[in-house]
Amino acid sequence: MVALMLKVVLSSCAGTLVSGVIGWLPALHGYNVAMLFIVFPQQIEKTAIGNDPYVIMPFMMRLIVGWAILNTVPTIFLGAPDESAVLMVFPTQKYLMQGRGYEATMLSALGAMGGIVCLLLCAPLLSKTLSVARAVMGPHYFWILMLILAYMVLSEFPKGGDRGPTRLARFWDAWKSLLAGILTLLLAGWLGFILMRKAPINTTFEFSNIMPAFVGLFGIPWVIQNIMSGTEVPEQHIPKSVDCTGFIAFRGITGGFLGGFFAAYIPIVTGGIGGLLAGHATAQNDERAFIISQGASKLVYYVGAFLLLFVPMASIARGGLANMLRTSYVPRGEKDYLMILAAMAISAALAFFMLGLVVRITIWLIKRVDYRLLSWLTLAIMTTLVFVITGWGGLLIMLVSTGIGMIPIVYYSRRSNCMGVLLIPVALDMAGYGPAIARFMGLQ
Amino acid sequence: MKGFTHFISATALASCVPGATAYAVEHTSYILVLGGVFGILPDTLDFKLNKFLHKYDGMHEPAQEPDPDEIAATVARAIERAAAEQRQVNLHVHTIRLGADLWRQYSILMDHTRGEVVVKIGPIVNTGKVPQAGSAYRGKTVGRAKVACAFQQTYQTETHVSIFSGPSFGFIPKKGVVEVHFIPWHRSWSHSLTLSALCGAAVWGIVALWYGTWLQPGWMFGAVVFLGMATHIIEDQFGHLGSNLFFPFTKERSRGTKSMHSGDAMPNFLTVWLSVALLFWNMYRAHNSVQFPVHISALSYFLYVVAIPTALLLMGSALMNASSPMAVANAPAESAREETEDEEDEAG
Repeated sequence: MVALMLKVVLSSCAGTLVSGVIGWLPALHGYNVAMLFIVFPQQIEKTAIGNDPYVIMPFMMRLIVGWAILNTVPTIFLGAPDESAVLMVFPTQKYLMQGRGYEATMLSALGAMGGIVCLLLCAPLLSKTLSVARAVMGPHYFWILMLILAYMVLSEFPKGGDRGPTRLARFWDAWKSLLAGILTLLLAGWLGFILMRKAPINTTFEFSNIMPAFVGLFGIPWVIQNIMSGTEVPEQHIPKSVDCTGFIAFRGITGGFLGGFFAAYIPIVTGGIGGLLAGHATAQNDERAFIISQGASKLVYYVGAFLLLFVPMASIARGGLANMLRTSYVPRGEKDYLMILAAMAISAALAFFMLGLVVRITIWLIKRVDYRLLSWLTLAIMTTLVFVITGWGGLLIMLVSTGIGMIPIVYYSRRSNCMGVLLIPVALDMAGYGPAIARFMGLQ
Repeated sequence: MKGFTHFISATALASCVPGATAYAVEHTSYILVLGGVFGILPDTLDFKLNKFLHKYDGMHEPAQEPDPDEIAATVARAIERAAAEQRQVNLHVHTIRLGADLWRQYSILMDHTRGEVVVKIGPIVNTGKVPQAGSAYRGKTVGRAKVACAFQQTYQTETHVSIFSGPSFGFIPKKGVVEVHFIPWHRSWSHSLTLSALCGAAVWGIVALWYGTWLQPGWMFGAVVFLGMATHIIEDQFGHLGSNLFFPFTKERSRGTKSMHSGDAMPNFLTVWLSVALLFWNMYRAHNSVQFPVHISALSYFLYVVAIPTALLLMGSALMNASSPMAVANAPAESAREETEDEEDEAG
């Protein structure tokens, strides 16, 4: 028993260190690294990790928890968000430009820690409730996804149109951003159809099929904007406390947890969309509550989706990692569930302390290195990683996706429209319309 | 209420239309999505159409270094013009944008008891409406203009102008007094039960033509659309502004019950929670009860999913209000300020 606990704790700590590195690197997804354990089992077996699930599973959980917490740093300081954090960028960018990047990071981390606490509190209830929820909601997923899509389109409101000589001029000015949003959604959906049916990538990493698209849609446009605008980041302050009340934290965490968990549970809905819905559901106008909720949503989405695999009686595989893991590993009831919960808690605590160090190093770095140069470096890292993982085909997808991802930046429309890349093809596939559309597009 | 609250509550009530949820599953139909779409439609019409096509008699653009007297005079002259010309005069007042994320805040007080318009220039705020340190206005901060006719506010006396687009006012002469209507393009024809019924009937007709039968499933689509849109309108009546409920038979917005502000967190969240609970229950009921492997007791569901969470939320809300007496003491002034901006951004 002691040996088992030691294994879980040690593998959790080891995972922390690895996530400290990968979390800092823009575009390198925690899931991608975790996939290595599934894709290269023989090679991993030869290392110190071996093939013991009580070492590998906590290590993977650690990677995901650590990555979800530490990846906030490149999101805020390098403007390189992954899709789940894209909503968070605008408020955190404002914090960064006010010299409050550290504060924004800590608010997000507060949300993440709150998300972990909520997951732990809900853990005893999950096995019963999730199996019922799956049975009840399963046949309804197709219209729930369409409902989310409809809300994304309808809830985008004009960002102009206040000034203009005529009513028509004001109307057109207002509708430019709306039309750009709809165009982004449709183009992303079109790209999604192609990627899901004839992706020009030959890879064994299931999650990686969509990875270059995500990097192009969400990460690269922001970095390009940083480079073109010549952003100068002001000196960053490291305060002793963060400006936030208990109520704001509670509101942010609750909203983020609900959104993140909804995203983790419903297929294809991501943390970004979950965060958007949660923000609207809890009527959040406060920037601090918003940042906290996005931190919670992102963590609960990634960690929750992995955790669902271990829930006794339910064992739901969400996302590429869980689906691939399921082919080689079957969770062994409550024992494994408790083990993974322990790993999650230990990892979150360690990652929270590591975050302070990582963010200080980053502040030190951006003080000494030109921000534009850092943006170029971020761009280079993203491009290299996409090429290494997915090859020339991936680079091509990234390029096309970047073109689509630039539309919201140019027209100030909502970036979450880029999520059409997953939502549209999957929602239509679930309703049974996918094959007909694919035939129409010449993809079958 | 916020757009999402309208959207999800409309979907939930649409799922109560007999047979609609089962029809969605059995026919792979997006019928319930229609409920949500029509649930948010009234605000979509207002904030994407009416707002921009509304005809203004004047648009005032304050300078970057604003003159409060000039703003007050513009508003006062518009009120007088309505009285003199005996017609509705519409005025839009712009915000003062100082940068990508910086705005100069100001307020317009239409004090009908003193017969004057008072404009106060406030600090610079960011888009989160957070005042910036040391940004108090150095020029003249208070401006006044006397109004040469009687006028009356129908909504609130003070309007704060801070971010995005500024407020609009409709000045309507009525029985010797000019009534001031806040954002007159909002909650007019788009928020009428008459339009809901018309949309429901239109959708019923279209579906009936498509399927070649009058009753089934056309009535279900019509009911979903009507219920979705009507839910929005009824929910709005709990606020302050009210809606023109039976346009074109009624010409004006009827007063809301003033039970809540559209941006209040607790009513919004509670409505969302209860809507999701109702939606889930209707999804469960839509399954064939004989073949379905899961049985949920109605009493347990009501107790654990509806009653206990609602009680906890209400208790939490009451405790929070009780623990911040300052907030309660300041509530009237604060609520007037919030409401202005809530109405402007409620749709998002």
